[in-house]
Amino acid sequence: MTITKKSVAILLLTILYGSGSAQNRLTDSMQQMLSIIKDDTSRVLTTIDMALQYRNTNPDSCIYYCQKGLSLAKKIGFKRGEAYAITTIGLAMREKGDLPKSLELEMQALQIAEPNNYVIEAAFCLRRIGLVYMDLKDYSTCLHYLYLALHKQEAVQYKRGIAIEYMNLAMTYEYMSRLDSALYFIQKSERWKDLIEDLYPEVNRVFGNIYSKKGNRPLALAYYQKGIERGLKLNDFRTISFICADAARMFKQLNQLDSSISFARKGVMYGQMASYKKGILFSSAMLSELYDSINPKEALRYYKIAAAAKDSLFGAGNIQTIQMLISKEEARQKEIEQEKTVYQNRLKQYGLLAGLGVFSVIAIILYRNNKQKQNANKVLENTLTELKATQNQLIQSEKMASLGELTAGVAHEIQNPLNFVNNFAEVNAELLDELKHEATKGNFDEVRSIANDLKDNSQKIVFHGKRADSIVKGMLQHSKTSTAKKEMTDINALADEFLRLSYHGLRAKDKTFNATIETNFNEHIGKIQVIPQDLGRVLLNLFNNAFYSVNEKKKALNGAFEPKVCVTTNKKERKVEIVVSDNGYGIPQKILDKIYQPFFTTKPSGEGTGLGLSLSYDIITKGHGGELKLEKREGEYAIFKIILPAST
Amino acid sequence: MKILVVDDEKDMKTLFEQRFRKEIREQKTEFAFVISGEDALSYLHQHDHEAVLILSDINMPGMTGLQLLQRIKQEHNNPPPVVMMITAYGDEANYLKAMELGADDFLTKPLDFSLLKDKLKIPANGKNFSS
Repeated sequence: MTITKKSVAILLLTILYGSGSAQNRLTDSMQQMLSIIKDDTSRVLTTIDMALQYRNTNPDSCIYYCQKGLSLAKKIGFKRGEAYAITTIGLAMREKGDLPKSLELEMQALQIAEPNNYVIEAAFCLRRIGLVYMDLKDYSTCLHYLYLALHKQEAVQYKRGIAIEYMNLAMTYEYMSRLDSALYFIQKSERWKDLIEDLYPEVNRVFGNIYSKKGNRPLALAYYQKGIERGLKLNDFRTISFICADAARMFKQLNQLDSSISFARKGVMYGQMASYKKGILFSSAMLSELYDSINPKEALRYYKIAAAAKDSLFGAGNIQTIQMLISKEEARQKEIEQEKTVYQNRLKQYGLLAGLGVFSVIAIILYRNNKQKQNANKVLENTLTELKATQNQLIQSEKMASLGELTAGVAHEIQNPLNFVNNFAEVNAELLDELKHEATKGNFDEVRSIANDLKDNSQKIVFHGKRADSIVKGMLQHSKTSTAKKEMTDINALADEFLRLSYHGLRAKDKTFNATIETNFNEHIGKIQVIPQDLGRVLLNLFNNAFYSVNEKKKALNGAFEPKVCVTTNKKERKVEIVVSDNGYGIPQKILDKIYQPFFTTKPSGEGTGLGLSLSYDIITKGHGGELKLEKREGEYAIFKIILPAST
Repeated sequence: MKILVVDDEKDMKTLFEQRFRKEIREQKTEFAFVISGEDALSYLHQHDHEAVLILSDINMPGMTGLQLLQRIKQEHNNPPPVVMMITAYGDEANYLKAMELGADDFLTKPLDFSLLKDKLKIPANGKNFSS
């Protein structure tokens, strides 16, 4: 092989790496070249270079051309071409998601390239083996192969390859969350960006990921955007899809779901434009999760897209195959290693034995200390487990007790309105008889009077019927486990909405009602995961109670009193606090243990069901894992505190 | 005959007045209505010996019907008025407690007025009120 051929191959490789829309034009020109090139070895290399263009968009076409190149290389005994073809098929297999096949092919190619000293091809194989391990999340093995590839390329000063390896190393370190190493390598690779212009979007992606993990979101976003911009210039939709998925993931972690969804959708779109199955899978899987609680229809749609992409990517039994392959390769490596190390080991043994003596003494001391601590820990752990079990039992029995209370309560509470419904209905029947009787006698004054009574009574029947209805509905709400789902909710807005609802509701019933409303909203509490309907119900109960209490006090004091209801929100560590306070009558000590019982009320009959606080307590503690606390001074104030966990 | 009805359900007044309209019209029965145990005690205090029959609810805000029963039986014993409990909570514990405190009868809601009227003719202590 001549120097010219080698440089033509490398030049082509440089131009073609990752380019998309220029594909057809280049394919055409290469087809032309193929027809011109009479030299067989050049034909092999050009065929494979052409195949390389399809690596992302159509791995099957890539494999097809490589196999053409491979058979030609075998026919003419062109070993380097053979290695080049096989490693490129391996690359396409990785894109298809067939990692075992990819690994097998790369190793096969390496076994041709190494003994023949085809340095660049060997480096390609080592890099690609590393990347398979990256896909398998075995990052230390990945690093091992990437460094081998780097050293080979450094030896021949193949700068483009070195720059690519820096980038790959940075990517791996980023996955390992070793961010300083990642930053070091990506900066090194950026210094040679002229050599890897086609990969520059990818470089920006790695930068973005590093800064995202470091917590510098604005900088991360700037890099992602730069990466997308570059990608658009290069028509590199594959990398754009990747970047969008990473940006979507960042915004998802920040709970900025709108931005996350927007990026993930772009990720799917660009993935589809590049026919890039992995990109489609990443983004659509994320979208399916994101839409899960907001839009089940979209969630299902993206789930299907993800499933389709996944089906075309990974065959069954992949993992087992790869494990077998790895152990086979490990065994081979071990054999070589063993031969080398047997001799060295003997030398080391003596040194080790001496060291071992010292260490064993220290180890025994440490072991004893540790054992003692472990015993103490075990006791503590057991106690904790027992405590947790007891607590669960208590909660369970409390639940059962409250259910019993509830059913008995409902049965009895229903009798009061029923008493009126039954009796007024019976009275009406009697009154109708009387009415007929009076009508035949012609006593029309009496008839009118009875008719009025009849009308009043039927109104009472309706009123008490509705009262019974609301008691039963209240009970159903109480016993039913909420089917609504938690969603990210602006607590301040929710509190404000229900405060207004409560105030205007009471104003509508009682025109004389008035109270000062004070809101202290902490703007930094952001959104947290709650069931808005349920939390709204709790807030409505607390506000209604507060307004009721201040109004009663005002009536009792003949207006010489300024009623005030106040709502405050706070963020404390990982908790959000909503405080509802009033300057009403407070809650007397003697009824303190009853206020959360179902049907307990201090309001006159017909005005309260006695289910409000009981329900609220359930919603906050069982529904949201929070706390409902009360501070009060009898005759002066009552303060209810809702404490909710802020984590999702 | 004068009957004091103690119940925090205000519609009880209308109900009793309509259910007993014949008796009221014929002036056989007279009713007074209060909506709490406290009110009942002050009524009895002001109109001593007038009400010969007290019908009281048990579950009321403030003083309960059972506390009222106890006070009446302690403070008004010459002659002791007849006290009937009328409650939606017709469970055994309530019934036994009422009987222990000296209730003359125990009725449950929804109230059966024909049964109540029968009982008024032959009340628990044997005296006939309708004469």
